[in-house]
Amino acid sequence: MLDIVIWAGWAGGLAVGAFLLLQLWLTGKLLGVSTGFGNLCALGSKAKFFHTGDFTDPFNWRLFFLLGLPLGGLLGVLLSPEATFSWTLSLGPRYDSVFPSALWARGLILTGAGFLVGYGARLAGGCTSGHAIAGISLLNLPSLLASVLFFVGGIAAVQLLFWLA
Amino acid sequence: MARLLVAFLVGAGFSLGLGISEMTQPQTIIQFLDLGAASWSYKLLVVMFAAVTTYGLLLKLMLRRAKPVLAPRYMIPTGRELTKPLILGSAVFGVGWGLSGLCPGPALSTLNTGAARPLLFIATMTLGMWLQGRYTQAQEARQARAARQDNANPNAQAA
Repeated sequence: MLDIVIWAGWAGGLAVGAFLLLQLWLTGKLLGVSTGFGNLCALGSKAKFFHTGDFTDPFNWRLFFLLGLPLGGLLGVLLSPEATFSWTLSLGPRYDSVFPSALWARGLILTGAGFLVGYGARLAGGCTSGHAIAGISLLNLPSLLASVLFFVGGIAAVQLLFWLA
Repeated sequence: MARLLVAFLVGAGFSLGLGISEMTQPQTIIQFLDLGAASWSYKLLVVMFAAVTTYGLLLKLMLRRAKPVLAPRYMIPTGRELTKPLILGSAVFGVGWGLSGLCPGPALSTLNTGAARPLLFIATMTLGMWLQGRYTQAQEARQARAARQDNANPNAQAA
């Protein structure tokens, strides 16, 4: 069981790195998911902040990269015998074992977490894909520090939450 | 058109990788951040290590070609600055990541397979991005105004 888990981690990680680099090789530009998503918002919003660079054209490759994400997730579920569609707010058994499983509590956590992730990613100029994978691979020191802080913030949040619960 | 199709497929492949390695499951992220717990798992590190080494090694190969396939030249930012927003933003991002076990890629990846969870997350994530943008714009406008005033009245500071 453990072997399978770790091999899937290697295989998946390899694919993540390879496809992210393929994106750079094809387009010549770095694109993380959060930055791309910010650009996607430009299509449905007149807020000037979203309209930076060459995103005014709805037929840009950033948009299509992002549109590919749900397709990959769907393929993963269809190809795997174990994965299933889930329509819940559950954050996994470990989480549920320590934290109240009340629907409102989960909703509240997700609401707050989503907000922090969105705000933080734009303030930091990138998220896990841009800073932690591409940034570290490019030996970019600020990205390395950003990644360390992702983990510091994450560990602190989880420890505090589980301690409170 | 070819560019768009390629980008679409690359996004799908990237996302499939996230799914195979179970980075799309909040449980995987939380199990790593939950240091010291009996259920602690280092899988997240394995995935990140695999992704970073793959990216780094292929990057060397890639840069042997003078230019990217579908664009005239590479535009890779070098020497990003270490700024206060980067530090603050990263920590804020980390807290949200830890609270939910979700970050933008996996949330979008599971959009059609775990509807309620990612939908709620993405909605508030968009709100967070929008608010950050509004705040930055307001700040810049304020700074520009202050600069104009200083120019118009250079002795204001002394008084």
